[in-house]
Amino acid sequence: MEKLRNYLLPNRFLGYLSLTILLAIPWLDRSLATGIPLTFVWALLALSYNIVLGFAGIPSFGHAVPFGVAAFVTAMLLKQGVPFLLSLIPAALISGAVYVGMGLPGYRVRGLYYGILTLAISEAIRATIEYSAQTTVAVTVSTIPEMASLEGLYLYLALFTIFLALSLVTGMMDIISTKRKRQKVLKTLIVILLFIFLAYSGYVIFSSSATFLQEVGSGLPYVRILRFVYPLNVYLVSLLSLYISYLLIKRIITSPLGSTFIAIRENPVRASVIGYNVFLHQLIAFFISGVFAGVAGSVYVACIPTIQPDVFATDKTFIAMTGAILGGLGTFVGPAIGGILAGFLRDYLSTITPALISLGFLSLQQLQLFPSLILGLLYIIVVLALPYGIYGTWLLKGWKLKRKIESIF
Amino acid sequence: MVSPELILSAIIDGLTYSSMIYLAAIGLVIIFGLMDVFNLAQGAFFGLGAYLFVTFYYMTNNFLLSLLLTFLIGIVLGLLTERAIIRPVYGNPLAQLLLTMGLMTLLYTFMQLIWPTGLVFPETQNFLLSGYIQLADVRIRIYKFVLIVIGFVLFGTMSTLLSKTMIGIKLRAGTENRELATVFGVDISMLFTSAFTFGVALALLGGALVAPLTHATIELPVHFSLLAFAIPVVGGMKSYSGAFYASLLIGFVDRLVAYFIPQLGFAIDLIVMIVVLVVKPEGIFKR
Repeated sequence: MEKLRNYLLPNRFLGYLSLTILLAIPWLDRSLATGIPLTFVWALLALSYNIVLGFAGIPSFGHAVPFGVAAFVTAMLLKQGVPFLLSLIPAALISGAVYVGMGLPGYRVRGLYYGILTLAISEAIRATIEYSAQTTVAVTVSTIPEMASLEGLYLYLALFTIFLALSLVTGMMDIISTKRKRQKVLKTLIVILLFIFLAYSGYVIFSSSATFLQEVGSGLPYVRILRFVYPLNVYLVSLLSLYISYLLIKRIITSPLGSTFIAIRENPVRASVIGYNVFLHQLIAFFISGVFAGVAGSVYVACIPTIQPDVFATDKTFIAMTGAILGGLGTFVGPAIGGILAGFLRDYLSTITPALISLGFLSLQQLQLFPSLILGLLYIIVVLALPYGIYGTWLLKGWKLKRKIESIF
Repeated sequence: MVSPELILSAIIDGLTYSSMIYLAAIGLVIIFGLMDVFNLAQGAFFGLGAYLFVTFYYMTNNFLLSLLLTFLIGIVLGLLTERAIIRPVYGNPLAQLLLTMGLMTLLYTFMQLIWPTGLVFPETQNFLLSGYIQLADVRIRIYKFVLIVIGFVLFGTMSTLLSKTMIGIKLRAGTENRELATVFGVDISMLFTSAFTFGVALALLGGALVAPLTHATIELPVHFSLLAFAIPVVGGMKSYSGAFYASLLIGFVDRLVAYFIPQLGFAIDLIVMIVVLVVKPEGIFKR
């Protein structure tokens, strides 16, 4: 039981709390429910990229390929009428296999030349698709039927209740285990404030879903049901896929296999002398990373119903890179934090842009590029100033800051 | 049936395209080939050069003055890039790749932001810029020959500069062995700064030179950023004559494929690069 708990649930109060808050967000502001799932997709892509670059130490710049392959496979399977959750598995496996295929030249091409090679491969694939079809290849997926089911809503409510209870319990335990008096008072204060917020959001969630279910009972038109349930289910699927992938990646990296990846990253020659098959392990890393990138690609289809060849474009790789590096390469949570942060920033900046239109010298099309410009600048600054990323730097230097704050009280 | 006219225009197009690739890659031959700095943003600088040049041309209506202005901006940009971004990461190739990838995306976004629809180089009265010549039933633009000549002249200048003058010798010494060159009294820091700056300025100049033919569109930097990298990779890292042959190879492969097997398109250039990387990672024209 303890083992299962270790695998499935976060160990700290902070983990439960962030999950509960993330589950509550789309109810508090419905407009966010459509934007954030994409953020989770980027976070998942960053997590999968972290396996290749952060843990296995292979500079691959073709991460858009497994992502794009999975997006296209999922979209085509959905067109055939395959259920979404079923189409996710073959899509992930195929993209894993494709990524292994991309890793094969790594046997001869070493180091950063391999990075340039993968960049060339992804560009070649995109160019071929765009060029051979002459027109845009686009697969449009109509509404996915499972995403409109009410079961998703019940699952959502159940999960929210569970995580709310768990964060309550762990919050209490955290306060009890704190020894210093001042710290204890401060912590209690913060936790109480957080719980007031959570109680409020719980009230909003349950009351609004109760009224909704009542209306469904009295015969609500299907379109209204769809509009209420669909974004929530997409949100739930993207959040759950991010969370479950995070757990799986953590499990894999803490296993002996993951330790071998890290050994190869640190010193490939030594690892091969000890007796590990370096190339084989790198291919395994490619497969695992490709599978999770594939999951990201599948969930992307649920968020954005029209899939175009631009899923292979370099900017998808760049998004994964930004997330992974912003959060911290080679850490577990870092890429997820970085990806979510980058996505939020992008969303937030694009909400500012209409205000800039009123200045009058830029068109809407130009302004849509504005967030990427700022993110690109931020990315360069982070690589230069915080080479370990936000979370990595916190792990390295955070204790100093913590001690300083504690010394104030 | 392949007619002689088709072959003639294919050959001239091949030479022109080779020259264009060489113009895009020449800066990278210094930056990547000699200094070992992975500068992915080189193609973006190339595209920026085209945009800036056409903008200046609209403002001044003078070809040489616009070229000069673009080159000067290139020097400023190169200096800024080297000081702010490249200097902290000499000798750390992964960070170089990550940073210049960011710079590349930043420059793409910037170009699309400032010039959302691209810029068309205007028709001029100048015979060299916009004139055509009749050559055995084929109408060929004069500027193509100008580009070919510029490519050859640039190759000659670069070879002399790098192999015969003191600057080139110092640069090659500095990249071979940093410490030893410093011991012999070479100011490495200064040398690297100026070499990088010169490389970036050359990229902008190259972009400016091809702009009358291709116009300034966002496809230009996207297309050439990988092609520019293909040149030192195919030609062999430390070889500046290899870069010349490599651009001839890729230019001709691309144009002949475009003429005779049009379905393949742009991907063929990248496939050449991929094959060379896999089969002969040290480059086929290695000295």
